[in-house]
This record gives sequence, C-alpha cells and structure tokens, in this order.
Amino acid sequence: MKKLSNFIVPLFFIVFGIACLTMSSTAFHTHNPLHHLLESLLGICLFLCIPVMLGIVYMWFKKRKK
Amino acid sequence: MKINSITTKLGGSIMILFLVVLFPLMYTIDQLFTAFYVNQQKDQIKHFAAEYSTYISDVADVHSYHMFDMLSELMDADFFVFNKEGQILQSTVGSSFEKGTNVHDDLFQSIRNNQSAGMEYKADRESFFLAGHPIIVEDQVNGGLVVVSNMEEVNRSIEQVRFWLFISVVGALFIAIGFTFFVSRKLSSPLLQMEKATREIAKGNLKTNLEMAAKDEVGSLAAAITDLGRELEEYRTNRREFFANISHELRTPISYIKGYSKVLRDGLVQNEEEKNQYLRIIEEESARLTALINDLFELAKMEEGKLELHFEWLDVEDILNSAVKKVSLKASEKKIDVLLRPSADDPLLYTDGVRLEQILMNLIENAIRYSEPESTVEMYTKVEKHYIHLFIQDFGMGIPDEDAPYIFDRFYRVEKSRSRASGGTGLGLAIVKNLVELLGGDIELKSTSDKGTIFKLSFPIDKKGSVDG
Ligand SMILES: Nc1ncnc2c1ncn2[C@@H]1O[C@H](COP(=O)(O)OP(=O)(O)OP(=O)(O)O)[C@@H](O)[C@H]1O
Ligand SMILES: [Mg+2]
Repeated sequence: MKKLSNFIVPLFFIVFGIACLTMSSTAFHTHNPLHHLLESLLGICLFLCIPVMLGIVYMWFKKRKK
Repeated sequence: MKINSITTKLGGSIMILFLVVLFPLMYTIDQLFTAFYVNQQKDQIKHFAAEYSTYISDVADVHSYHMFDMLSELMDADFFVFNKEGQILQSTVGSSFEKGTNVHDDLFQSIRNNQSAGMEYKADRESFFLAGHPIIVEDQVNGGLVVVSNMEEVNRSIEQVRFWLFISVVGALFIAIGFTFFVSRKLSSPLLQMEKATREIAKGNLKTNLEMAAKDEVGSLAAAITDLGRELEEYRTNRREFFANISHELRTPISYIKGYSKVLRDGLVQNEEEKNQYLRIIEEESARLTALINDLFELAKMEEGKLELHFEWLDVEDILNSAVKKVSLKASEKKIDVLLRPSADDPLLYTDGVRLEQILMNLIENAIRYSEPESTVEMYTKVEKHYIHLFIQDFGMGIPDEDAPYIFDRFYRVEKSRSRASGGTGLGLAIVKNLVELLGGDIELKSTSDKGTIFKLSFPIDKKGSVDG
C-alpha cells in the first residue's frame, strides 16, 4: 500500500507538471487549439524522455558491463 | 515523511538546486520578452512617424490633415502636428496635447535640429510612447509630426506572456518534484538499508546479508558491514566455544582430584601401593591444572598486548641449544634423539630470547609427545635473503590435512583422548602462534599423516642486515 502511494504521488506531480507545460505552450495558439495541444504534449514528452532515456541507457550499460 | 531523513534532505537539496537555476532563468526570459515587445512597438511607431511626415507638404495647411484622422482610427494610434514655433496645429490626441498648446520641449528641441525623437509619457496611469519626426519643406524644418501610441496594449500582452511563463515554471517545478521523489529515494535507499542492517547487527542479529549491486563506495561500505557482521559472529562463537572448553578443561582435573581425595579420606584404599598411585594422580592433576591456568593467563596477557618483551641481539644457535637441553629429560624418557643440525651461517637475531625459547620448547615438546618412542626430532636453520627460518621436524603421527587449519586455535587437539592421555591441553600452539606474531615472525606447518611434521618459523633479519659469517 505504502509502496503504491510512493509511486503514485510523484507520478501525479509529473503528470500535473506536463499538463501545466502543455497548457502554457498552447496558450497563444488560438487557431486550432486541439491540434496544438496534442502536438505540444508530444513535444514535451519527447524532451522529457531524452534525459530519462540517457539515465536508462547508462544503467543498462552498467549492468551489461557486469 | 520525516523532515530529518536523508531522503528529505537529498530531495530538498535537489529542489533548491533546481530553483537556483529556474528563477534566474525565468527572470531572464521575462526581460527578454518585455524588451522585445516594447522595442518592436516603438520601432513600428517611429517608422510610421517617419513615413507620414513625408506626406505633409505644408504645415500650415490644416485641411490636409484629415487623412490622419482616418489613419488614426485604422492604426489605433494618435497624431499631432506642430509648427516650427512648437505650437500644436492639429491633434487627434485628447487632453494632453490639445490644439493650440505648446509641444513638449525635449521633443521640440530634437526635431528642430532635424532629428527624429522618441519619448515615453505617462498620463492617467497609462503609459504612452511618442515618436516624433521633423517635417521638411524645401530642405527646411517646418514643424513636426508626432505619433502617440498607447503602450497599455503591449503591456497587456506582456502580462499575458508573463502569466503563461509562470504557469510553465510551475509545471517544470512539478516535474522536478516528481523526479526528485524517485531519484532521492533511489539514492538514499542503500543508506537506509545499511542503517537497518547495522541496527540488526547491534541487536545481535549478526547474519545480516546486504546485497548491494553498486560497485562504488556505498557498495563497498555495504560489503564492509556484512564482513563486520560475519567477524562479530565468528568472534561470538569463538568466545562461546572458549568458555565451554575452559570449563570442561578445568572440570576434568578437578573431578579427578575430588574423586581420589574422597576415596583416600574415606579409607577405601586396600594397600599402600594403591594409595601412592592415587596420590600421584592427584599431584599430576594439580600440576596440570596449574599449567593450564598459567597458559591461560599467558594467552590472555598476549591477546591484550600486555606481555612485556625484551628485545636484544641473540645468537639463534645458542637459543636452540638451551631449548634442546631443557627438553632432554623428556626426550630421554621416550628414548627420542633430539638432533640439532649445525648450519653453515651463524645468524644473529634481534628478538626476545625467553619467548623464542618458549616457542621452541613448545614445538619440541609437541614433537616428542606426538612421536613414537625411539624416533628422532631434528632441528635446523636456514638463512634466506632477509629471513631466517627455523625448522623443527619429527617423524611421528603427523597432523591430518583436515585438522591443519585449526591446529593453532585454543584448545584444539587432533585426537582429544590421546592428547589428554599424553597430558596436552591444546593451548600450546595457540601460545606459540601468538608469540611468533609478537616477535614479528611467521609460523607454517607441513605435515603428512603417519610420516611426520615440520614446523617452520620465519623471522625477518633485514632490520640491520645482521648475518654473521
Ligand atoms: N608435532 C606434532 N605431531 C603431530 N601432532 C601434533 C604435533 N604438534 C601438535 N600436534 C597436534 O596439535 C594439537 C595441538 O597442539 P598443542 O601444542 O596446541 O596442544 P597440546 O600439545 O595438546 O597441549 P599443550 O601443548 O598445551 O600441553 C595436539 O593435540 C596434537 O594433536
Ligand atoms: Mg603442545
């Protein structure tokens, strides 16, 4: 139970943060906002993934070296 | 969540670091946007002023200004025109720059010198920007055109951008908090695990096994803790065994003494010979008890490092000779020859003679005790570079391979019953090992069952390089 909440709370924070960023990056796109919303959501997630990916690759590399 | 935990501290530090970067960045972006917007607006107004001032061919011709009324509506900006005395001739601006009043001096001066001018102006809590340009008629400054623009619109846009900038900063902050949760927990979890394990060890749960994958300092700390637990565990079983052994060893002679003295007192002996035999047993057992207690005392002193050593330069041959002399009685009882083979070089050793003799005697006594009668015990020395080696060799029963690693442990005996029959307690080699280490040497053994044993003592002589001859 505790383990689950340990996972859920930070995840909630991250999702909320992504929502904030998506909203503000769509704020000035008054034309076809839904399209821009999805587009910027994708963009933000991509940029978020780059450092996370780097971390994962590093860990995988370390594991393989062992 | 505890405030004073490593996870919180780590997370807090990461967050502060993040804020340290984020806040200045936010400020910089805000400045960038503001400056950009304001500048753009000002440039545009200046451009208009410059453009439209060329359309005016006669400042006094007030009727030609009607087009400005129209432009003013279209562009959402106001205009006024003044003549070369600085008097406003026509104005679409409301209260501040009415027709007939004089134009602001700053503006007037630069335009009179045929220069365009910009000026910020505040009225009724609204800010305006004034861009003026001279009106040239026949190469002469004939007056000026000023475009007045309300900056509130720009400011509102900036406010909006600022608001969304703030929202994105909050979003970034939340993402940072989320990841910090994971990272700080991941980083601190081995520490917390180790803390738990050490507590377990302190409680007496010594078999803690910390499985740590990391090969960094944290990993090696975990390994150290595991080792510490093992070491303590070993120490504890050692102590338990030691006490069990000691009480057993003390009890046996005492029970003999008690039993036989009771027999004697109760007058249960048949003849004088039997009585003498019992008395002899009592005497032997008390001697054994004394020896045991002395040995234990010696060991305890050694292990606490309280043994006083008197180092001096000594001839190894002399010590060997005196040891042989001292055991010769025991040897002759068993008809064993103790041979001291002469060596080519006659080395001096910086050591404690009494203790070295004690070591040698223990080893020779063992050799005699664990050999068949009428065999031989040989001793010889060898000098090799920086070491002197002393060998004590017998051709007795030997020590089985499986017992060899424990032979130097306290109370360890290969065959308890036989050793006891020959009077051993199992402390001799433990004392030898301790003494050898105190003297800075090393002891090894090589043994084959039923063929014999060789004990090899090595002491360094490189201190002052003293090899005589
Ligand atoms: N030279 C040897 N040959 C065969 N076995 C030996 C020899 N030296 C020691 N041992 C074995 O090692 C055991 C331990 O020796 P150690 O000298 O420590 O005890 P001990 O001789 O039994 O008693 P203590 O020396 O205290 O009177 C002995 O009991 C014996 O079984
Ligand atoms: Mg012995």
